Amino acid sequence: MPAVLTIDPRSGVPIYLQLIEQVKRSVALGILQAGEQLPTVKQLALDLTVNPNTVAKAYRDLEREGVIETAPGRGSFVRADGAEESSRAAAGDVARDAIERAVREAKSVGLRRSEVRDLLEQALNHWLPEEA
Amino acid sequence: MVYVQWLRVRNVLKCTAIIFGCIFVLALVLHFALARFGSYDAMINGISLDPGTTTQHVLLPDGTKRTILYNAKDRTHIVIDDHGYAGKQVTITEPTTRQRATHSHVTMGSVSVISSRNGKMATTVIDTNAPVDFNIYIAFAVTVAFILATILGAPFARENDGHLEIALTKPIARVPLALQMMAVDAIGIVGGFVLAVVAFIAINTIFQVPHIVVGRDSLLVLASGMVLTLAWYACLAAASASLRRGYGAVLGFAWPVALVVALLALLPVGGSLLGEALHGIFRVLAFFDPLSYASFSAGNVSPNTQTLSAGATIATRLPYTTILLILYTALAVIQWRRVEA
Amino acid sequence: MSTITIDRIRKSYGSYTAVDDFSVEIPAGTVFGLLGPNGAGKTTTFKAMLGLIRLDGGTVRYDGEPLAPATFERIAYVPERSVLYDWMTVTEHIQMTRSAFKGFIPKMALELLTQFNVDPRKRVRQLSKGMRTATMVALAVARQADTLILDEPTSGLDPINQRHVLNLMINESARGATVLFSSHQIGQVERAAERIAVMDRGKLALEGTVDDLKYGRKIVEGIFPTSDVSLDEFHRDARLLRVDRDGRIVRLLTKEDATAFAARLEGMGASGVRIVDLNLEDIFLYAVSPALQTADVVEGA
Repeated sequence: MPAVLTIDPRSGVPIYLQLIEQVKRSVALGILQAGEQLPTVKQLALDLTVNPNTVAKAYRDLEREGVIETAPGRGSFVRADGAEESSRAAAGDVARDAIERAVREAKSVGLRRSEVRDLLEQALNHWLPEEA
Repeated sequence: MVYVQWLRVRNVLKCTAIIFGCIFVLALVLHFALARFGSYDAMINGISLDPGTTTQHVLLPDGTKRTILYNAKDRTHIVIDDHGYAGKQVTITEPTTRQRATHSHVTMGSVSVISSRNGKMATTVIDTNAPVDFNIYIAFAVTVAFILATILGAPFARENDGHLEIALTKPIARVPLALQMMAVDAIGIVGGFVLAVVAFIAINTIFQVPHIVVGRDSLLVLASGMVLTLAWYACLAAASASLRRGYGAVLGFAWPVALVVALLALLPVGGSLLGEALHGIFRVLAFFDPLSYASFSAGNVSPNTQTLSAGATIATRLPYTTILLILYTALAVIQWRRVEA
Repeated sequence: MSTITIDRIRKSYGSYTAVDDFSVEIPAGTVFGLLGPNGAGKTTTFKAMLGLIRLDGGTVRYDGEPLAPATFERIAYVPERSVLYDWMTVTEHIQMTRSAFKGFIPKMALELLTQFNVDPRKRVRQLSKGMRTATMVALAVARQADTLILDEPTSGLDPINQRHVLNLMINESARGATVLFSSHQIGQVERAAERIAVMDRGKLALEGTVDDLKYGRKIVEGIFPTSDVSLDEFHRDARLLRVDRDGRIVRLLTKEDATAFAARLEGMGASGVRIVDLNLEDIFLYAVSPALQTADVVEGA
């Protein structure tokens, strides 16, 4: 069971949303491989000490978004087919959320659009330079 | 459902058994320690020292050691039969020096003294192991049962004191539960009674062979004694059913208060109107007081023995105490039905 | 699994109203947290649910049926303080529970007691407060009942055992039981409970699922150029629980649609608009103490 699934009950983000984000992140980072089995709802609930229905809700949403699939009687698995797209999509979700948060944060301290773009450019140049 | 009540009763009976055990051992020790003082030979030597007394020792075929003492001058003739473990008999024949009852029969426990008169001679027979009516054992054992009834007398108060969340969340309605609790205590009281009878007989056996006579009225004496005790228990249960903490005081003061009520019902405080009224009030209260149906005779306990003050005999108290038993049980159960945690 | 329906219950002790027209429905199979300050009426509600006190008004029903002796076969209750018998051993309590209830599993009780580090041979008077609570929890869980009602089940327990009790409740819920519990530890309620109700001074102050409450309730903050902007439209808006102004800073506590309100503030000329998440403790405090300022939350965030 990937130890990377942690939740913070005291944060204002509902636990099921945290779980969804954590699973997507694990898939994007390759910690959860395609076809790998997730813990059962009950097991994960006990491991994290959270309500089982919260875990069930997270799993349902993840299935709807195509990140995992549930086979009745067998358990829940990271989608094997289309693993590339699903992990990229998952990664894309995680990244998009992070970038949106960054932009809102920048806006809340009063930066203008051009200033934010400059910051984005700087960050891109630093971390993701153009291929030569 | 009443596991806890069984445990409580078991603990009380264990204590009672231990106490009786200690008394038994004590009696055993006393018997051997004081054997020298009550010994047959010491008694004989004391009497034979009178001048002019002739002493004769005979061994009877059944093993009895018979000593015959005769003092010609006093014209006193004493026969002492020592049956050993089975008891002793002393027959004294002497000239009567004063007018007294021609016949008397006094019994104290297993010792009986029978006096009779034949013309100028009076005969006194002392028997240390006369037949003992079983009713005496019943009376003592009922006293023990009374004590146990008082100890167990606050079953509901004990639950009220912080345990209602367990006691009242069981799959049983309150009334059956309350009745079951009282039934367990009742079994404990009866069990204690049996224990006491066995213990008394056992202690008796240390000193001499038990010579018990069970009469046809023993069953009545036993039944009415038991119902009386259970009525006392039910009375205490009703008095404490709604209490949480102060039930110790209720149990402790119960005896004196009941006794005072019973005694005041006896006293003829007649004369003044107030006196008559008070007397009447206490007579009514005595009807409801189980203790006023007890009898405290030291001698033979028979169906005709008067009770303390309730104007009944041992025979007639059975219906009254049964009514009280039912009344107080109902009062206790009704109260507990309405208790809140 | 039972649905518990509490319908307009009322209880007063003399002139003191402990519970005042309180209604809540606890769906079967959920973990339901009952929150509230001390004296809010939580324990009185539990006692009323179990027939331990008589109500002045209202009803409590289990699957539509009023409480009957047979219902207790399906309910396991852990009260707030120790109701065990001081003079008996823990083992004797196991015997007692076994003799009273059919579904009780003594072996499970012994295992749970070992996990809580309670020696079953000890007499209850030799146990600490936390161990007594743990014993009551162990006996209740080993009943494998449909409904578990726990009043402050973690009080007196060290953090490890607190987590253990929470896990037991979660396990019971996974088994399909209805779990109703009260706790002052909001963090525990946040984890384990699916739905909560907040009681304050005998009344229902707030009710809902934890996820919906946390998802919807936000503080929307904006800084206006002047401190006299009209806030009338916000005061009339039913979605807003609170509208505070602190100089040029305006803070709205909303039940829902936080992004819409953020956009509105920006549209009105505010800058530095941000949306602040609220955790369950914040939500609880707002529900029970009107004096709490939105600033207290935002600055502390």
